Amino acid sequence: MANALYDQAREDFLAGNLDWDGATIKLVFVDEADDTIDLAVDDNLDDRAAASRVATSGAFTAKTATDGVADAADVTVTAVSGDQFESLDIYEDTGVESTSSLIANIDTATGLPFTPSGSDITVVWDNGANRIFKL
Amino acid sequence: MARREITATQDGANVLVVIDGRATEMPWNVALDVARAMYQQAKRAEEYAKAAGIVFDQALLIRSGAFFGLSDHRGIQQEAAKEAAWNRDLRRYLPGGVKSKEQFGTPAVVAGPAKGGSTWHSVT
Repeated sequence: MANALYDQAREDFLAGNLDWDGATIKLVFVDEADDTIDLAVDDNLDDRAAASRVATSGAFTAKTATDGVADAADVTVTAVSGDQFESLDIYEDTGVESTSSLIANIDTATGLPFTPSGSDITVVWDNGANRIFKL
Repeated sequence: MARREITATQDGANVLVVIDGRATEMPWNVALDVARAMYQQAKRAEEYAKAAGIVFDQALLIRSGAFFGLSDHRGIQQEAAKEAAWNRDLRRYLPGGVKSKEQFGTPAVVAGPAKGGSTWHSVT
């Protein structure tokens, strides 16, 4: 596959239901051996099997949406252990899994797949024109 | 349309054209003008004859996001836009459907803390 937005996110952006720099945005490392990514069908975090969630970050900071380009500060998740993960999901955290919209799945990144060893893991966003993603 | 016997020969400074036994002769410069005019009109006639195919190809391009025109004929363009909007069969020729246009950067997943980034404890 390739890095892509979930259909739910496209709908939310168009319908004005997703405010990138206003909402609480997080990422979760996904062990694809325990779940299958379906960009068209998976819409909320509860569609991601619990066993596939290796670790979850805190809220992104320094988010910007200038010119339709989503950006944020690099994210570090500390002391990560567990299964190898092949991709990461970015999602809007509402506090309720069934309403936390999946935004994007990133499976094409330097360093993926990644096997945690108990140490910190940092996701360094691209500093090019597209940053995290560009609509 | 019946196939015609056409020959064009040079006769001094003139050009002799014989169509099904009927000859017409014209100066070289007139022959060039006629040839140009005939070529242009022939291309228009070809566009008319192949309009259905052009409409379909144009609609496919519009659907796939490649907005360059195959014809400057307004009627063909309008028909292609209608086809692109409403012809469900076009999907069969676009495997995977119409691709999304969003673009992604290529992040890096690295071991260790961020340099000036946000640090969070793993919660799962």
